[in-house]
Amino acid sequence: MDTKTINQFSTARVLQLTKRYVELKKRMLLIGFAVIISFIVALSVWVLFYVPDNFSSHRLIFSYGLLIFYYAGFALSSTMFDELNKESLASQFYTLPVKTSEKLLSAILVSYVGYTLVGLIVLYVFSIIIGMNSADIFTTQRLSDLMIYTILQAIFIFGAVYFKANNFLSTLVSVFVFLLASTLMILGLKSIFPGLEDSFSLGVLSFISGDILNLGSGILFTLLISAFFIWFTYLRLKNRQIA
Amino acid sequence: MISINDLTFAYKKGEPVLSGLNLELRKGKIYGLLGLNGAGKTTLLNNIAGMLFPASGSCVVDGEETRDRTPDAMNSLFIVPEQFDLPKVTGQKYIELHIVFYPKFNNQQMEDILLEFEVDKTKKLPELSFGQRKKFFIAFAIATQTKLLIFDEPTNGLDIPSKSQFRRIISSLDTDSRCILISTHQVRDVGSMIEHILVLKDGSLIFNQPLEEISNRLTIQKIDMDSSDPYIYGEETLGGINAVVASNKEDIGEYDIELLFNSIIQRTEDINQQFEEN
Repeated sequence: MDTKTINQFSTARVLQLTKRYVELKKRMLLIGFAVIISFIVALSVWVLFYVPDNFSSHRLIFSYGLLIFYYAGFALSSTMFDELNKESLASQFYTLPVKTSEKLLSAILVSYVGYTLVGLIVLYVFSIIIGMNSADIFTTQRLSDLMIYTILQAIFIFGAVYFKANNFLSTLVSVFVFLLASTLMILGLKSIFPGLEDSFSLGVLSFISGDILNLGSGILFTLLISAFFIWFTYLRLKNRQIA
Repeated sequence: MISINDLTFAYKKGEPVLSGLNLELRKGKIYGLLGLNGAGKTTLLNNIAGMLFPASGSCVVDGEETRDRTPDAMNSLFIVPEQFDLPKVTGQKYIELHIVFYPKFNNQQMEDILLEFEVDKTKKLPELSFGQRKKFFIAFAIATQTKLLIFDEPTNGLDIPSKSQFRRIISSLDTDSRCILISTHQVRDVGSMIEHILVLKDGSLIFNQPLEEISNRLTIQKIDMDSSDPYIYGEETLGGINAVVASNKEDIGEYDIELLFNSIIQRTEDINQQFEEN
């Protein structure tokens, strides 16, 4: 194979790298799924016992299940590049003969695509077990939640490369501070310019509350913001050094 | 094969650790990168391996800058750092997971070296002692068949028999198509393998000569304490002085590499002067 061929994007390397990520994180993934399932089961028992109304209890269990699933996903994304943070392991990751884009794509395949698919299947099966109506699962609200989840996943992947320690907590705190600052800024602007109230209805606050009126623009917004963070993750990963 | 051009490197806003370094490494040779602690050896290796980026200048392997970390450039080199850890998998699994990235990986060679080192690849890597893990990683590095093999303090953490095994394995390698760069401050451990000596001091390459040339220009002699014979550098020993003296005849004998290293560090100008004269 000549230099040009080796330096071209390789699907085979992406798949092998994905396998490597899964293998090295197998223990963590198994423990994570076991904890999530145990937590949801414990929650179900508790809710079914204390909330007599079937409809409310099912929705409550599913909502909490989703919330746990989301945060576990963010935690997983935060650890995708933890080899870089351990000096003793970093050299093997830095010098692995793969492209930066392949490293990033493989990480996304594991922490977003793979995890989300498996997680949603588990949640779906679980919802059937507890007798939930599928119409209550696949709602517009869920889709809007999934879009926010997608953006946050991209932010947590960025945090995995950007921060050099405590990636999950550091990213969580950064997101929280950003949201708080945005909220205060919007509220401040609204109080100064009351006429702006309507134009902000599609802004950050309404987006976070899941109030996406237009599905198409919501998806476009999700893709653009996610792509923005993925691009910065790529640049950061490409330029990151061992020291 | 490896071309380091006017390389300068500094950590953040500090003083340069490496400054204006120029170096060419060629296939078929085993280079010894020697230097005192803090001389910049590991920093240089990390620059060569693309893990640190030069502030100016470049490190080029087979026409590709290593800072780009392209698959081809990374396929040309393998580094065994002084301190490293291995994932929590068995040795066999580690090989399976990484072999795909190194198309020329030689499985038989890996088996042979592990056999010589007496390392069990079926065990989980974290269960092995540091020395065992190091031997496993050295075996893997050699088996990748990369054109450039970099070892940073390879004998640290190895017991005495393992140091001998390491020397034997490196010496037996077919180095025609490979270049080996060994960085160490424990010069006695690797002295017998080295074919070309590089000495780094305060971020600058102060000495860069092949052993044949050193043999032509310098000799190590034991001289009497009260002798008036001139010498470049000497160390008192029982019954005399072990001295590095100028020589104009070919004398390929056993070299006291530690004495040579000390002489280069202490008398840099005088030693280099020997190589400037005809």
